[in-house]
Amino acid sequence: MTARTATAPDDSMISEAPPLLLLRDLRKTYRLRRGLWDRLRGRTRNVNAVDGVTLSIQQGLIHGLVGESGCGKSTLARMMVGLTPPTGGEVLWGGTTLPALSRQGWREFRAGVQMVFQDTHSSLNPRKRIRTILSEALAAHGVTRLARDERIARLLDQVGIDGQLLGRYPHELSGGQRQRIGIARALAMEPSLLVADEPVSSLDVSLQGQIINLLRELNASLGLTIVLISHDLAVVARVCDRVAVMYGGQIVESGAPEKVLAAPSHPYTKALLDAVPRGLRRRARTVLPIETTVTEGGCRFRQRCVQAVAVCSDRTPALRTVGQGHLVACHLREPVGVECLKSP
Amino acid sequence: MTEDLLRIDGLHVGFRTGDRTRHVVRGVDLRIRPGEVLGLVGESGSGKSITALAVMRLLPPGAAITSGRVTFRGRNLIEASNHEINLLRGGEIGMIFQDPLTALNPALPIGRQLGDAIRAHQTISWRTAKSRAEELLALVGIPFPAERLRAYPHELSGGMRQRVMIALAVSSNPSLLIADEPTTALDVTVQAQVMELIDRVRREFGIAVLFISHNLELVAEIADRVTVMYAGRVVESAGVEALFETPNHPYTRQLIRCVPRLDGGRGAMPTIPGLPPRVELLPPGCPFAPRCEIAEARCTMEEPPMRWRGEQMAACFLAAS
Repeated sequence: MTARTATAPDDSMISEAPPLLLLRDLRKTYRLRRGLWDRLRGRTRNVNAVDGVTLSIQQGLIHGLVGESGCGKSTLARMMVGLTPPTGGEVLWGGTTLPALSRQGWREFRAGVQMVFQDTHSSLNPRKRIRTILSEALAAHGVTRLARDERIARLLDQVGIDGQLLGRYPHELSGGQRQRIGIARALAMEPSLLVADEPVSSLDVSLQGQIINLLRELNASLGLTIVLISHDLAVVARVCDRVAVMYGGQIVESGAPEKVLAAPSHPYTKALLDAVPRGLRRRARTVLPIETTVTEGGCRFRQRCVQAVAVCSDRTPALRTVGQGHLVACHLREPVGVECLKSP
Repeated sequence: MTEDLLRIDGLHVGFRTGDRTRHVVRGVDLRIRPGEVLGLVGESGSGKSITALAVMRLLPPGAAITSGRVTFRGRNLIEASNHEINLLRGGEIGMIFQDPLTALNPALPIGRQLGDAIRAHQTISWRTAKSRAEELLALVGIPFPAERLRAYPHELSGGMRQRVMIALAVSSNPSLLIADEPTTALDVTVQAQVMELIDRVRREFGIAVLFISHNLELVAEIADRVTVMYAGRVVESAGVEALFETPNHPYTRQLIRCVPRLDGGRGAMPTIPGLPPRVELLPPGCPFAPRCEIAEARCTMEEPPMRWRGEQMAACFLAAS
């Protein structure tokens, strides 16, 4: 079985409770718009932003999703919350695929899976006061006008915002405060899953911790399941229960952060960790080869991989278990056939 | 001790709104020796970028230098004529910014832009300028430099564009490179490449660098000395080892603790409580006092003095000296 059709559940899925959300061989292909001449001649090019991702989101955990820009992590997030329809594979909510959900089931999904965006300038309506922004979310959830004030007070309390800010407009708030409002708006729907796409990358270092800690507290107090998308490996290592590393639209390594980020197995994870600045502790570091376009077919990382061998360009490596709940997609980590790989 | 290449003394920069002037830079002193990398660290709104723009006299509309001196190789830049400043910019002082896409002209191929920059400071033929441009692209590690001369900025990746900016900045053999958050928009692996390039360029050409960043780990990797700003003031200034190993200002200490570390274990993230002050609502006394973990009564009443411990300066009543 090749990775293209690999949908078989792995060990980590069998050993656990049914996932809150299951992504099965999820794909998203965008067609690139080309010039008239190419279109007349029928030449088109596709980009596989997400290229066969299988991932289970377990109830009550904080899942980290890391990778560089263009690796498909934001597209994956948008498919998780139902904002972008996949071109292949399926998203299962409570065991049912999204298109098969009933009208009621769809409503529950839309309320139950909420997103927090990176850019608080563009995700909050600049012409509405904070009170209106929050009460619209509550209205959409069917909270009566009379009950809204009390619910707003509770939401503000949960995210640590002073009630005096309710009459303000988003631009009058600091970046950290705006992100708290973004989280409050998501919480208004009483979600069971929160997908946070780079929630702190536009904030200052001294404030990042406050928002990340808020997410941790919500996870602990409400049992909120969180998908934290971040390029900051240190933050993910610190707060996540699970982590998945993406490259070229695929998951190349996943598992507990103590395994994936402390003892990485995939060459890309190693390179990514190696590139993290470490200050005085290491003033010289190894540098990955210059970025190239991701190649289709075979291992997506092979052109930048220092360990690549012949088979890497022939076959796409499948995600395989290398330790408890630790999955790696690399030919060199496969238990059998390493000898034969060396003599192609 | 060698003479300072760049020296800033008591710089004040204010934005005028109506009949009031709000100061975003309030008495900054810093100096860079030839060939040295000075890291300028601070959070958004600390005044670090405005300080750099003031050096180049590129302040945004409404902002003006209200007092202080900026001396480059003994020349006072504040009083220099526009013509002199124009020769310095992109001449003896090169600049790279966070977003190369807005710093490069989107409508011109990069070879043309490099050639223009070279010819602005040297009287040479187009043909010579073009071959010099090609050399520069090769120097900054751009593959197939001859072909890339014809590429437009949008055809290059973010890391490649930042390499082009560095090529532009070093094209005139500057003695000072001002780099304002040069890797903030880049992924970590590309960031590592660009950092290595900046370090290599400054070693090969002996260029001094004013490296502005909010990323402490990055500054620690490249800087020789570090100046930390908070609310428009310098709060600490020291050699890189001293600053990171024995920080003397509580803000520096608390900020270093906030930096997430890969080997930091699991748990809640360390934070600095509260928010940075807004320039129009500065508290009396030390601007950091409301967020400081060791502040005393006098910190909220009087401006803290500068305390020296060897070469290390901290603006704090409670700093060790």
